[in-house]
Amino acid sequence: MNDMFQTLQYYFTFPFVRYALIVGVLVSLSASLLGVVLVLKRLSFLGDGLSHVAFGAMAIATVMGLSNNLALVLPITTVFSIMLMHRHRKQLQGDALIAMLSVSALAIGYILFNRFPPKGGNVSGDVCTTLFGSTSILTLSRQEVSISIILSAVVVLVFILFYNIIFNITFDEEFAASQGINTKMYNTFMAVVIAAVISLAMNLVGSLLISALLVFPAVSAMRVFSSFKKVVVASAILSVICSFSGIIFSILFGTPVGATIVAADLIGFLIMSVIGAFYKTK
Amino acid sequence: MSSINAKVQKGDYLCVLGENGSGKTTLMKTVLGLIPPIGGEIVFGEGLEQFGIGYLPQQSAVQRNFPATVKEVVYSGCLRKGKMFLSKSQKAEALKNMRLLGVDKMLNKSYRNLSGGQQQRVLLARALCAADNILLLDEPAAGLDPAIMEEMYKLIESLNKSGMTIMMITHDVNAALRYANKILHISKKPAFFESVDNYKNKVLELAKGGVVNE
Amino acid sequence: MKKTLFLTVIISALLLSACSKNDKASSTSSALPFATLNEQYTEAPTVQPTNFIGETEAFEKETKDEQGFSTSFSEDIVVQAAEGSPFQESGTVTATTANPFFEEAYKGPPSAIMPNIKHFSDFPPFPELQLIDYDFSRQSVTMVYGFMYDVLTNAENYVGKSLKLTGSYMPYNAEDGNTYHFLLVYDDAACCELAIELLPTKGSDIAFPKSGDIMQAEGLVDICNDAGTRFVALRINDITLMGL
Repeated sequence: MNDMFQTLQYYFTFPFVRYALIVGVLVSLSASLLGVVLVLKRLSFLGDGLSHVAFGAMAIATVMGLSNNLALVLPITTVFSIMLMHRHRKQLQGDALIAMLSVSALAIGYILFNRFPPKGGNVSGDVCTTLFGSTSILTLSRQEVSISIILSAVVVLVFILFYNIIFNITFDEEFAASQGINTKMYNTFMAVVIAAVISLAMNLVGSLLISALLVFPAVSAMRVFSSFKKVVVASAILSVICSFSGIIFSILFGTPVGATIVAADLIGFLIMSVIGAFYKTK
Repeated sequence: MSSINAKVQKGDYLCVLGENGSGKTTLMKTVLGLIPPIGGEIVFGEGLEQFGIGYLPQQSAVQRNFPATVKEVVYSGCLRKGKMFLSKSQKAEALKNMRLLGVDKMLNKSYRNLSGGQQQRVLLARALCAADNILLLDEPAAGLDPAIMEEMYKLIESLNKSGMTIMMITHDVNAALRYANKILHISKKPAFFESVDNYKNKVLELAKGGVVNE
Repeated sequence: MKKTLFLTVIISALLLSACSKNDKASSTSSALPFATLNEQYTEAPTVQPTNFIGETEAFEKETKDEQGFSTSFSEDIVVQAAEGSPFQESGTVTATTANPFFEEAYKGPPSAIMPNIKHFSDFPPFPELQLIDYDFSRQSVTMVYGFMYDVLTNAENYVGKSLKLTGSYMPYNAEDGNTYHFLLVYDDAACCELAIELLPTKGSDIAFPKSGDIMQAEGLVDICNDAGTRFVALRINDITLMGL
């Protein structure tokens, strides 16, 4: 145990380990906050669907030869996010639409990658990286770390400032509208923030991870806590703990980073479920 | 549905009756400003604004299982257009409303663990916080036990007696006849808007097989 | 609310400062009998106009025929600076390391460890390494991949440092008839790989295994210049085959 500690100490001297931890934790934090809203609005699949759309957009961007794929990924993902966020209120076919959109984007993206492979690039590597994120989180640059810090700060700030309004709209959108709150605007705003987090996180930690990060901590927190504030805080803390331990485990034992974090989240969920079975806050 | 011409005065207790699909929901949403009027307009008198109507909507399944404390739910009623945080006075007001409706004891209890009647009272407290001086209730007694339903109606009546204007959509004609002072009956035929006594006469006529003339 | 805002600001500041820490990873000091690039040049290399006459000119003529790149070395190693040359006294060195993804020809020395050799393959054998700076022969896949990427992209931090790596061997037969040797490191899903070129030191006759065999290599990280192409390589005296 002691030498594991020493090994970790040695690992921490490497910049890529520090960056992986910082980005992993921050992205988890942002995703968990947004995830509470998504889960309570019954839009849990939105994260998964949008991350596939982002992948498809990235494929198009790579085929077009764009140096920074974000220039295309961000707008396309935002458009679909807004569309899906508003649609769920009107028609119940929203979930089928998301499912179709999600797999089509994935398939088209992969076809494009195969037909027009990026110059000197490794097709399966690119696909692997953006879908599973195993290598992207270990090969982060300073710039990407700064981006993730700014992104998380923005998300946390938004959540703190608009906390009451977010609660209102999530709990009872109709009532909020009757109070004069512009629910359409806030829903669009949330959709934009979610799309931004998903687009950026795809390049940082992969699509698989981001869809899990959006859902797991929120659901786990709700197994035990029954106050909105407690759920939000617990969700954030839980996500940070799970990603941190997931990354540490993965660098010590060589398991894929993204999948390990998801596994850690799953364990967190199971633990919270057990706790919730015995002790649930009244 | 044809046009409606109704006037609600301060202190009124108006019940909106009508079959399903007659347009009660549409009317209510228009009054609240959730949807624009299809035709005509809603005029607000002195001291009243559209966003000052306290709304008690019908509960959805989402809310029944929502992790929130009673305090959080009621506080959410204090928000108004453009405001982001609650002031101390608003919080005190909310506490007062909770005490009025007898839910202050369960302040930190989880909303989802309450009974149907208790949840309705919490939502009513929330509506009170959002109300300047008029409440709009959508089937407040729906799905409640008869005893709890009575309690609910008594509560609403006491609110009305203390000066709160009530607009209530309901299926319960009996309750309407008992508590309301004005009736708005919407149906495919022209709407009926008159005092309760006139309505009683008209209803009796209908029951005897007569035809209502407008 | 104010408390949380304050906390957010503090935490962001802490994180940003953690990022701006020195990017160089710590390592044990290498006990090599010859000077490495880092020890020789304590100041950051600056690009200076070359103004060599005499021998340099001859050298420049040589290389201009091939790729047209010019290299300048410190005066006490190769070039005799002509009279009146500003470099006669100072002995400053120009060593430009171009962005590896740039198409432009690389204008650096043939070897970053030993800039004085004529060709990158002229590297002499180095003495047995008493201490290995970075031993990644038995670490987790995750760490090895991340570390390799760091070495390949920020090679300047690792020049002259000794590494020990385990990976699969991959030969590459080029059109000009030469065989290039690579050590491959895979990521956990085995869908991405990183390769570092293995450069046997001059005179060492290494028996490379079959393609795909697992091998272990101990050596020094070097940034080499092959007629204008920059690449990162591992100078090795010998390899160890891992039975699998």
